[in-house]
Amino acid sequence: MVEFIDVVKKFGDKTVLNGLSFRIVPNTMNQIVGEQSSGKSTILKMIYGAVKPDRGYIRAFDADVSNLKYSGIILLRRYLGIIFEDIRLIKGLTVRENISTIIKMTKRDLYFSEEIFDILSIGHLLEKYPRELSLSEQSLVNIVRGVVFNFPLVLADEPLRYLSYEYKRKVIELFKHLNRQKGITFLIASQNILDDDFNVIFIGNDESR
Amino acid sequence: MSRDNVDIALFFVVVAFVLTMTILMSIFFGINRYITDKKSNIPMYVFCQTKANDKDIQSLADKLKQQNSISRINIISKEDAYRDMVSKFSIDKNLFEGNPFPYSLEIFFKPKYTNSNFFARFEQNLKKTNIVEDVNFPLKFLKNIEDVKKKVSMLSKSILTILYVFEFVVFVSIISILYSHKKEDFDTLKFFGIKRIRIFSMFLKKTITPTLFAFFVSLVFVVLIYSLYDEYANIYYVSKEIFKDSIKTTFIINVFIGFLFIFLSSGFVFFTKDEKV
Repeated sequence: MVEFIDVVKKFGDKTVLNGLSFRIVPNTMNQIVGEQSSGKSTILKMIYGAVKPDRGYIRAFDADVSNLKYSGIILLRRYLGIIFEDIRLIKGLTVRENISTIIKMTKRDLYFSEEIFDILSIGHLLEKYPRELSLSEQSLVNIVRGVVFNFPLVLADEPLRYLSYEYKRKVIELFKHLNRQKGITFLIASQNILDDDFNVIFIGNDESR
Repeated sequence: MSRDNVDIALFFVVVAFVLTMTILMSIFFGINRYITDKKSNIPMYVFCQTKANDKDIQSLADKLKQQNSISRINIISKEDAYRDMVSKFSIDKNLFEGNPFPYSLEIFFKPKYTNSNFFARFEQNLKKTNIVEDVNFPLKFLKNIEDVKKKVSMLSKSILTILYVFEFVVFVSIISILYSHKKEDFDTLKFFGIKRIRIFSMFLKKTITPTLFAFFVSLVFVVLIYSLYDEYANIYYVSKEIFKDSIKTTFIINVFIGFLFIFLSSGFVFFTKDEKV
């Protein structure tokens, strides 16, 4: 589903990824583990085409992302659920609109897993605007937006950062449930191992582990 | 400044733009039309030979009326000229042996043709006519008024051009701020596979909506100014008729220019600031 072969990425003089290779197979739970600024977010951004590698090959589904034109990248993103590290809810829209706008604007009629609202207890937030929510509530909406349409691949960048222990467990259970029931593949970036069942890719200094 | 405040700022800028430019343009139009009217009221006098009779004069007047450049012709008979002269200057009738005055024509031209060059050419042609003795017109006054008209026209065009350029820069600046406020949202939408053209149309909607409201409010103000001017004001150089006539035209022109500016500045801002992230 996702493949990195000998990927190199530098930001100025700093080499963030140096010949990184890994493969993600469908219907699995995967995690990229590394220290802060080790390139975890960069890997996810490379998969959805927001960052280009300096060298190497990146495949997502059947597309060569490293050589894909912008129109192709836009098309590829329609099959990805993205959970952003910086949350990125659209300020002028309600929670419901934030979630539905993705399919409305691409004119798709996708199945909407409304039970997720109950699992994460955000049903009462649907008509509120992001400014009316706490950081942890915004974070939950960010997570829901990434998984609610059952996209085949979900890229989650530090999804549990702003959540309490109780909600961290709920979200991990939700991810595992969606993986088991709907066959969704997850690639989660975080600084620690979240669950023993996840396949782990170590990067940076953690590569030695 | 929050997003809503930028929308409100854009709304007020557009209202200020439409009202300022409409009123200023109306005043310039008014002054320009006043000068044009004055200019087109300068006649050319054609004095005929004394042997010319009624029939000859009428035939000449009819021939001239067919010309596109002429707006109207007054025929001044020998008797009218004589009576006019005697009454105006209180001359003793006994000084004259009969009526020494010839027939004459007072020719008024359309504004476009009321200029010294055309008058000079017209004079040359008229003098070729058998019954025409002499042609006269106030050349110096005509040249002065042409000069004033040219200067007023240039001044108004310069002021309007400078203001339009400033307005465009203001629009671009305020729309840039609006875009900066929305940039993160637009980038987020791109990460979910929304095309840039769709995002541009969203952005246009964001800029056009306050503009539409602004035009509506400006219309209310223009109607109010129109009524107040009609009721209470009357600037000598900008008569009620001229002001009322021109304000409608200038309002429509400025609404059109306003739309064009908003559309162009939105496009300019979007395509210079938006990135393929």
